[in-house]
Amino acid sequence: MAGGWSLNELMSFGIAGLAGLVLALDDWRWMLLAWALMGTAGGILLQQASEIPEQLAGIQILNSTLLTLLFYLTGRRARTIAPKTLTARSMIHWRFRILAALFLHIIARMAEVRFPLPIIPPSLLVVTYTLIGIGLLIATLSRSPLRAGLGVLTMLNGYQIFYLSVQDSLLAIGLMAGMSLLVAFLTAALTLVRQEVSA
Amino acid sequence: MNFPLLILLALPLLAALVVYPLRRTPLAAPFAAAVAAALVGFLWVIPWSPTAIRPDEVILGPPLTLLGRTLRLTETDRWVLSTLWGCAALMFLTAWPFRFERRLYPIGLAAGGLWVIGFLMRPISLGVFFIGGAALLLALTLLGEGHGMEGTMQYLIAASLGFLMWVTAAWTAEQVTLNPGQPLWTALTVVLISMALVLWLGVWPAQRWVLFLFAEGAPIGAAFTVFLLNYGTWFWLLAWAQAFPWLTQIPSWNTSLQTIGVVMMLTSAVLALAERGWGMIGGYAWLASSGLSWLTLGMGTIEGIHLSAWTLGVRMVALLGLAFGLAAHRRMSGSTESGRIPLDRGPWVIALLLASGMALLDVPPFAGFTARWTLTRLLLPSHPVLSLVLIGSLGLLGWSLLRELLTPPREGAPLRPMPRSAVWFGITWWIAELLLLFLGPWLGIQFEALAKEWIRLSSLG
Repeated sequence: MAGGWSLNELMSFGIAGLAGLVLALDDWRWMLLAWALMGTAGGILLQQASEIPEQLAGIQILNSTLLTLLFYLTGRRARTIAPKTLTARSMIHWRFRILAALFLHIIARMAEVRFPLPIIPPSLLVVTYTLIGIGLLIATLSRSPLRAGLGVLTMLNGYQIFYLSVQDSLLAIGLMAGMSLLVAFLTAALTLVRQEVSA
Repeated sequence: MNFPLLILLALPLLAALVVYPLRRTPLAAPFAAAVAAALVGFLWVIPWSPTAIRPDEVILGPPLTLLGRTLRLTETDRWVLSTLWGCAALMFLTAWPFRFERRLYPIGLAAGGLWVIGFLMRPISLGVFFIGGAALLLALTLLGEGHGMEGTMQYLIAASLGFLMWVTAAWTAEQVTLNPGQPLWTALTVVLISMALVLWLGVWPAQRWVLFLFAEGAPIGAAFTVFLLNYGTWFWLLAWAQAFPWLTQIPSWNTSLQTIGVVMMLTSAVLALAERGWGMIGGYAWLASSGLSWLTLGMGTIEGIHLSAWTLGVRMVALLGLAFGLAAHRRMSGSTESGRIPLDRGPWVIALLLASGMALLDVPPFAGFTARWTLTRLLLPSHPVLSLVLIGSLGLLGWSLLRELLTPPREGAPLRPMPRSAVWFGITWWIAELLLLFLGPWLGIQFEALAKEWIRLSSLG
């Protein structure tokens, strides 16, 4: 039990670290890689920490992989249209963004202690709070639609971890995954429109 | 199987697929408007057989099962859907002369279709996904010829975050039913709904996306978005009150709605002083005017709710005028900045912007003045200071509007000629405003059913 707990703790640190990388990295390809790894790690954590069927956690991982592929193809296409405008450099230095991610993770840990929910394992709650916080930060600090969309999807990823643990309706879980897909398609469409305008 | 209801749900989504390839042609707007108008006609032509499913609830036709869940149409829903599709038809026709609004037709139909499914679906916790999907989909209508990326991105963030609030609120509301006697879930539900309203209605400090959409995006797409989010949410709260009758009984419920309304009205008036441009000021005028609907809804009395429903009907014409004026301004000058179009080069456009702004501010002789006057009369005995401050806030917004008119002409890119459609639209708009003055009392009677439904639901709890 103790081993399992520490593994979950490690996973939640890892997910927070990967989300921090999504926030800090400027190159869109590395950012996408970090985001894909974050989604996969979230699925694995769900599998270990909660009692949801393994298939659902597997779908979560598959969903992240497919969305990453979609963004990669969008990014490649956008790069051929207007290469310089794909990733607008953030106004804030990456060191401060890493610090902000760390700060948000600490706040998430404090929030989990202060407002625990008995129906959801603590490690999942910490990851939920952290991803929603960091996702919001990514979305609000971004100037490019690709990055803003990834921020929104990071928020949704965090929320999905909470939602999959408390919701037992397969239809609701499927609809939630559908919303992620919708946001991803919107992000891809906005990125391509932006590139066409820049070109 | 309720086939008419199935057709009602499927038709807009199928029509969106047909309109999409036509969106670059002049056929798209009249086709989309005809579909929306046909949906309104269909709602009233079909002889729905009333079925009593409970002593206090009568539905039109048998329930429809979709994805294993039930969808029911009531008399109130029929009014709601008629309002939605009727206004959508007007929006599509308004967007007809403008090429940069072409995404509105297919996306508007699809978003409206999704919203109707979400509105009728029970439980609410599943309907919320369709409503959220409709809100997110609207992001695609907001870009006009490359403009408005900033506003669209801000809208995407606000709509997504608001959606998460709604999903969580639906879940916590179900927890109230499952765990009675735990006040935490009740309080959480009200807080989450309030936060969702702040994000979706553009209440300060989340108001920037509304302004950016009007100032930089496709104005009629922006008007459709704020219309669906405002009107849609107003009607959807009725469905919430139906599903969770305890909600409207909580004192903090009405307080939240009132606070949202007052904040919208006051912050818009103050912040508008620091902004320039027809789009920005128009956006603030819209926020202030919709704040009045939420304040009166929060009164919780039959008079207040009736007034709120009535303002929804009256606001639509003003919103259409503002959206058309901004779109015509954009077409002539490429932006909605002040001073770009002198009065002699675009008299109908400037007159439309000014008059629709005044109609949103409920200045006499526009029909909204009756609502403003009734609100002042209702508030004055109990909250004299607030009612005076609200009147003062109108003065500030009026000054911001006048300042736009008085801005000296500025040099910029050469102007395109005023669209000929501005003259026809302007004449129609003035006739519609005049008709509203005379039809106002009749419209009020029609909306009374909605107010009574609210009160009936409140008394059930």
